Parts: sequence; structure tokens; C-alpha cells
Amino acid sequence: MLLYKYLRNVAILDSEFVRTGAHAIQSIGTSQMVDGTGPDHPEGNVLSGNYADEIGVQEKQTCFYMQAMTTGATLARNIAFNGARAQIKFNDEFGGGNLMTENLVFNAVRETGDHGPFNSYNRLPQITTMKDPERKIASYFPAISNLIRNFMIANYHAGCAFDHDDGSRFFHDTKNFEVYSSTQNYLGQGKVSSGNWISTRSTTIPWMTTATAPR
Amino acid sequence: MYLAPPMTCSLPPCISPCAGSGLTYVQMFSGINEEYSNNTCETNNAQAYKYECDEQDFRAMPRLRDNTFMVGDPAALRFSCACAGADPPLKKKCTIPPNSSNVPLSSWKAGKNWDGTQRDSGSKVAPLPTDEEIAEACHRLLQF
Repeated sequence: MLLYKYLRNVAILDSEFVRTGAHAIQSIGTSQMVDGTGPDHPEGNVLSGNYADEIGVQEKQTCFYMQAMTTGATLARNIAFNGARAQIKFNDEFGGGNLMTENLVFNAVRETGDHGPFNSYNRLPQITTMKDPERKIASYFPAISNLIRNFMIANYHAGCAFDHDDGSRFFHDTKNFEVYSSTQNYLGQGKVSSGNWISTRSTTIPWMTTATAPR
Repeated sequence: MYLAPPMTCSLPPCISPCAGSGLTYVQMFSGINEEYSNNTCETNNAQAYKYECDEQDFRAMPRLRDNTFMVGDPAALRFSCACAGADPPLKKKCTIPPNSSNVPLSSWKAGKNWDGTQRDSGSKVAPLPTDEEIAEACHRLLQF
């Protein structure tokens, strides 16, 4: 499923994505160079209650959900597992203001390395109005993206549950349960990791030690 | 039915520290306006962190406070930050601050965060939790 350019408040609910060739859901906007104040981007995507299994059968740099130049997305109560790479990816910060909550993500990064179940980049900050509640003042600073109460298992080759890579900014990771994870912080600024439970070790609890997923 | 192969835990991240700034370097302010606080980390790693630091510049580390580190031998856990760097053209001569290399938490707390507050104030080291305690924490955090 492709969400492209001018879209507002698109909702993808209670759907099942299985054995997709590439991304299950991809959201892509455009800008005028670094000026993202125009309308041609998805804003307010809502993904809730979806189930994604075996993502990226043919193309490996793929996810359950990938967004680029997209802002204000909500991902809630989704289950995503069995993928070659990160299952949820924010390619850039754009306007930020995203909410990711109560998701279960595991068995990511099965065929690659470096990433985690969630991965963010920010190699080119862009100007948007998302930081301003009245949406009038344009800024290079995005609104804060909140990642709250997610259950993330960084098994297989994942390095951490939330891989805030390459200049990622203004993420608040709060009260997440992160298994086989450490907190990654590669460049960028304004990231807060607070109130999380982080386990970097093995235990004898079956659901924390066995990377099996019936299908 | 698809059964993925069981993961092996002999490689990272199973032995990774609780938090770090892998491959970053002090001059890029990786930790400015950042915070690592109120987290609980259970680990088998000998080091709690893997951050960059410099005696003159603490901006590569987030503000650290009120964390709990759960380890098999609480007396053995060590805290360090290092002068490394991934970008030689920007790399400057770096000096590890006092109380910042392979020290226990009590010594580590003598250092400062980027905002001048005490490093890891309110943080503590504790024994590993039981499986029941881990499961309880999961239910409590995720509210299910």
C-alpha cells in the first residue's frame, strides 16, 4: 500500500499483510528542496490493529511501515514480525509529531544487520510548521515524536529496540519494554529515554528467549 | 507453520551495555539536550554504558539520572566513557575525564552531565530480577 503526496488522516485499520514482496505500507511526501511547508505530503496517517508477517519476501530493505517526508503519524496496537530489516522505519524526521504506542514488534533484521525493529534516520532536516501549535511558524525543528509502551524484541541481528540512527532528533522513548536491547544514540539531539525496561541479557522466560513464530 | 531458528545469545546485543553512542564522537554533540533517566536495565555486560566523553566537553552523553542497573554481581559493574571517534578530520585530542574509566557507580557519580548536574544522580545498582519480577514489570509497563 502506497500513501503518496497530499493525503490527510488516512486510516489503515485491522488489516493483515502477509508475505509482501516489499514494504507492506509506504508513506512518501515531497518538498521543495528543504522546504516542507507545502501540502504535498501525507499527514495524520493512522495505522491501528494491523498484523504483518513475513514482510519483504523479494526486496529486503523493506518494512511493515516506512515513512519519508510524512508527519503526524499514529501507529497503535499493531503486530509486526518476521522481516529482513527494520519493521517500522522513519526515514527522516520531517515535521515529527508521530506517536507509536502499544505495538508488538519482533523477529526483525533476520537477513541483514545494524538496524533494530524500529529504525530512524535524519540525514537532512527539513523546514516544516509542525513545531508550532498554530502551524504558522516554519522551523528546522520538528515536533516531538513519542514512542510509548511498545513491546519490542530486538532478536536476530537487531542491535537495539529503537535504533535512533544518523542524526535522529526529538524522540521521546517512554515506558517501553525492550528485550535484547540497548539504547542507541547516534548523533542528533533532543532524544529522551525514560522509564523503559531494557534487558540486554538472556533469561529463562520462554517468550524472551525463543524467537519462534507460528504461521 | 513457520518456525524461525532459535536465536543465539552468544553475540551482541545480548552482552551489550545498557546505553551508548556507538560510532559517534564528542564534537557532534550527540547528547545535547538528551536524557537517559528512570530506566531499568538488566544486563550481563561488565560495563553499563558505551558513551563518548571529553574532559572539556560532555555533550556526547545524555543527561544521566535515576537509572537502575540490575546485574549478577552488583559490585562488579563498571562505568566508563571513552575518547574515540569515527571521523578523523573532526577528531580532536580528547581526554577522558576523572572518574570516567572503569569505575564503580559511586565514583562515576563524581562526574557531571552536560547541563552541570551530577552524573547519574539517584541511580543505583541492584541484583538481577527473578523471571517473575520481569514478567510483572512487563505487565505493569505495557498495562496488559
